[in-house]
Amino acid sequence: MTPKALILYGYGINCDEEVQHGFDLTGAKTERVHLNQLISGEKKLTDYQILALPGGFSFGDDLGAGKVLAVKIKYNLQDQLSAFVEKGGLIIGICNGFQALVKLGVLPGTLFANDSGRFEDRWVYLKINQDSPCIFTKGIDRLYLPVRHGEGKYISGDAKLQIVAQYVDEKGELAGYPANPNGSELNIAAVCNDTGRIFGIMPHPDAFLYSQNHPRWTREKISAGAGLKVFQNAVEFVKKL
Amino acid sequence: MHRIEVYLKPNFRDVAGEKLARQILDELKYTVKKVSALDVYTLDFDLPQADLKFLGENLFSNPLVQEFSIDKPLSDDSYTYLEVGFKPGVTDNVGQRAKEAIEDILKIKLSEDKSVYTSKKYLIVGEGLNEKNLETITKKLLANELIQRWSVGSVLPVPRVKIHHEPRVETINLNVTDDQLLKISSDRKLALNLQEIQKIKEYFGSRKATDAELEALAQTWSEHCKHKIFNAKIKYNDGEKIQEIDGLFDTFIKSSTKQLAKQLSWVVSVLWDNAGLVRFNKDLLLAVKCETHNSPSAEEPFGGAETGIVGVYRDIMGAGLGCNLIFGTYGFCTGNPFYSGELKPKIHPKRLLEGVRKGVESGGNKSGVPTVYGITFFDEGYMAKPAIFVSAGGLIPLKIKGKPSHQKRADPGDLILMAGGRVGIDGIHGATESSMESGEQISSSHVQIGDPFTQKKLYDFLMEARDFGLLKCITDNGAGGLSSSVGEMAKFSGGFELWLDKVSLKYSGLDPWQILVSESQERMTSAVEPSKIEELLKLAKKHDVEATVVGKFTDSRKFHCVYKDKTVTDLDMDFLHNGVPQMELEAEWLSPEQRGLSEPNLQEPSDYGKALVEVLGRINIASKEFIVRQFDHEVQGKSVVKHLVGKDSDVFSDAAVLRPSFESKEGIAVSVGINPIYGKIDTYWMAALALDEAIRRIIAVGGSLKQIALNDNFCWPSPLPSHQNQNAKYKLAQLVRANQALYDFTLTFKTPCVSGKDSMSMDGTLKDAQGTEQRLSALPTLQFTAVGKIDNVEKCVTMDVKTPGDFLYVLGETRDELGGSEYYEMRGELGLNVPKVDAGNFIKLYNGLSQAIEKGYVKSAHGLYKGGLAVGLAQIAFAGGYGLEVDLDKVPNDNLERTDKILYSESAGRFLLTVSPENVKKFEASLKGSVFQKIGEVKENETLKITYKGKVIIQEILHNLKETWQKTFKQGCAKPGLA
Repeated sequence: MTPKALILYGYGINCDEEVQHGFDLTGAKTERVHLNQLISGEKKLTDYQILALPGGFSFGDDLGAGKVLAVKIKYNLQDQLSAFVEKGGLIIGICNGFQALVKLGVLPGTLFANDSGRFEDRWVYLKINQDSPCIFTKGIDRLYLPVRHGEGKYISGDAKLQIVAQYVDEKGELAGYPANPNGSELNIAAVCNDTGRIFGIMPHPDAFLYSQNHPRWTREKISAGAGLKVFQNAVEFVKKL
Repeated sequence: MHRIEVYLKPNFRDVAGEKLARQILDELKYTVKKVSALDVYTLDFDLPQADLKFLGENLFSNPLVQEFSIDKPLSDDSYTYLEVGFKPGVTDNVGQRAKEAIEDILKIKLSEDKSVYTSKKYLIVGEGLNEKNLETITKKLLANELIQRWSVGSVLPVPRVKIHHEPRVETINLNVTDDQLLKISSDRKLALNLQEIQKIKEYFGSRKATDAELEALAQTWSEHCKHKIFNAKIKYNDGEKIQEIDGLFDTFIKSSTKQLAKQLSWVVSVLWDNAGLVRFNKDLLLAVKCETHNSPSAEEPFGGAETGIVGVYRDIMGAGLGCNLIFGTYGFCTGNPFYSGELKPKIHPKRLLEGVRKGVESGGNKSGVPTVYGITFFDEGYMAKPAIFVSAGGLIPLKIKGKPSHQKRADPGDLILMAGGRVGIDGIHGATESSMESGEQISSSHVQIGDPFTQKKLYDFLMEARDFGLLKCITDNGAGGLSSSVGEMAKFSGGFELWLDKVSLKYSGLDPWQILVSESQERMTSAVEPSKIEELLKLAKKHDVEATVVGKFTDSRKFHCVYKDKTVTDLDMDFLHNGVPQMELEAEWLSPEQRGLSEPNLQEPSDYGKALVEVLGRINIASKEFIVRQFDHEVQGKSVVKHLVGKDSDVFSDAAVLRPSFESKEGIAVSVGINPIYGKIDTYWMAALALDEAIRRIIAVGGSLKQIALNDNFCWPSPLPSHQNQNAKYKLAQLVRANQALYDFTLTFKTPCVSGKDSMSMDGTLKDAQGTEQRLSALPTLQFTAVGKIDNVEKCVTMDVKTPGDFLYVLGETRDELGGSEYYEMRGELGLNVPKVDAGNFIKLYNGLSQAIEKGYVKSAHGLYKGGLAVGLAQIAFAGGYGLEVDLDKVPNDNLERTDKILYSESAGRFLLTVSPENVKKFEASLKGSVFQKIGEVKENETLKITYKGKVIIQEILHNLKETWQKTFKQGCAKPGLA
């Protein structure tokens, strides 16, 4: 079966094209669907196996990043979303998408203003938790990706956690700023739910689809875009169902 | 009415509050223990307590981190507190979004007059702070009185807009004396001169003009829209002869571009549309446009720069049938951020720079467009009026539904569609007198806050509408509002009828003329065939975009506006567009020698290492990484060469490169060239050097002269004579000379200006130490934005040295050209020998280098700009993290016998390259016939070692050099050394 991926767009979401491209390159059948097409019933979540909430500034980040998008989903699409999750659908929320997922309560904890008090665009090293049930990170040990956010500090609020990725330094050790770009608890960069099917990540795998996206490709041998593997994992998982 | 206050729970850090407390101590020297910044939402309508509690938990607070209170203070109000909110009528994005979310959550519909307002409440714990201190804190650090208001120790009233005014049309008798005509112009802030208003009087004859007619004429004939100075007839005395110039634009810019358009097949649509369009590849056209937002940024830096960047994005969205946005750039020319002299600018350069930076951050990041590149330049001249540049690029398929996408037209019968934001009084020039509730004044004139979110929705909608073939013509609503956008589009059809009462408004009470000329943001106007309107409006609904039919195009030859079935303008299109009288001006050049400039006779520095350290830390050389970090410079996933490169990704690249289409390896290089200092000596060479720099930056990353398109962007002190402007003739001559250089060098390099912008009032006043108003003019400033085609992005190179053992080359000749250099400035001199552009030799060299890079012979390439060879060597070394050994004797030069001249000359046309040993022969062959020399080697160490005549003159640890270069702005604009 060719997996069908729904890439949500509209209302200030702005990484929809690169996320779609990531899924296109790894063999999914993709469709950009506007939030209002879901609300109006023109499109149905349950017709897809993968839901992607891309990064961006949904609703201008006003009232907190991802907050109003979460409100929109919660008060208009809750039934569809629950049905999608019950059917075993995969969800990936990147950056603003992750912020929306925690504010929806689909993933535990919350994301809040960076300790630096500012938005930052910076490439960071990630160590992937090898014991995580996360489907999207299977077979990945390390990642190097950019963060581009002002509200990425992960706060668990004592929730039971499935840590998927942590910010580390060049040597792979947990470290402070700028390795941990936002002051996240336990350097958390990505989490998932217990089934590993719902995944939220602050850094952008969609920003590293080609070797030339790497900030040092002119000085190091970079064979391919390492972010692709995240999309590929989801596609392969659905194919095997 | 209800009031909800939100703040952090006790165990969470208040980063914003801490930052503010530090600022208060640093800048105002008040002892402050703690500052807490609370979010306040005022709901100007009633809701049950249960709903409010629900909203508090589910909308207004982040419950894990924050707590809230309803209709009572969250905190103990025994603290000193102050509250800052918007003035009535200022865009409150968060409030608007909150209202929409409340409707969604509670499933209710709130009427127009029910609003949510946001404000900030600051609790300040300090020692001995009195009300005056708090007032100072607010004015200096928290609020801008043009758009905000505040209260100390009390709750702010809500900024409700209620205009008790019945819209009306006023008629004006123009059959009056010249003095009275001028009074009409100044009272109504029309900015028409006597000649112009006399022409208008003549046109109306015995008939009275309406206010809307005068406003439409004033807008259309404004310097901003008509470029009267660039179209003026100029008598130019160059010191030897007198020459008549019939329009700078026609004579120099248009003439060059037209000639090049004939020679270059990739030039598609230039100098008329919202942006220039060139062919990018077989499928796509590339649009590029630059803008400035100087006056608004001078008054409200954040809003000015934010509306500037989203405004230039609308230019791209309105180019051809509408282009997709792919990049933005910034340029901030302000006073010295660390200025501590006696002049009293209205807004200190530090706060201004932080404001404009924040404005581009907000506008760019929220638009989903990468801010890929930019510049800063600091000079005291910008203290009264900064030059704030923004530019943008976009792409459009060559054809839309089988038709060429760069062509657009509106035909009689087509409908006029306005989409996006609503119209308010906030975007009207000088419209401050409106009668407001309780004597309030609405936020003033052209100072606005942008709403990039609304524009992003509009953008998504328009791009889809374009792809479905629903748009026949499209343009931005910028200066002059509907008057200008509809007026321009109606040139195609030959007339229009605009129904002003159909335009959606932010609030009622606007007069028809205000609706016509309001410049409220985030709006685009399109021409739509009647058969397609239904589909288009449906699409607008999908995107939650407000779109309204506000009129139709006709062939009446009339600029015809109607309000509630009554005609309010009945103007001939021809008079409106072609009636403005041509200005006649005089220009008089004074050569640098006549102005008394000469070369200084300086002692050589005793310690060259120390001198280099000093140069690297200077404000115009030092790192501004903090600016770039806060811009999303890689959204869309297409970046190839980023703004920041090198081993630690923290040194500025020569240019940015994007790969705009995932399907192809073709790329676009983006750069900017600017250096106003040279204009103090001669604006001819200033212009030539800015152009050469922009081009050379593109060559350095792997572009070529085969395809580079430019945008010219002039920011000039007024060259119009007046009693305050004694040397207007000289300023105009400076402008003539810059244009002559633009003409000469665009033609020689074959790099056409496909679009441009001019801003001709870089003057202002500020108080001196005695409190006397001083007039201050900025340096004549010309920025070129360049976009170059890259055939294969995999061939691109960056400036950082890569591998020990590689050879270091300098390309081009170093001459006695330190006039206007950073080094002379550091030594308190200007000099005379401004660098020259030797285009013939440069072209040969650039072509050779492009080939060498394309063949893969070059490991790193970096142009030499401000700071010359010394700064270039330091930067490529610490960017790459490897040492360099350099022999200055080998640097090809024009008999320069002085070390400092070789190190710090700013001769144009030069590069530093590294080449691996195995490619040396092939590399040297490709540059045959040009001046170049191997001057050293990359070393497996951490030292920059430079020798001259057998002596080591510089031996510095890279880490130290880099640290000096980074230290100046380590804390952004905060004072160096303060944490």
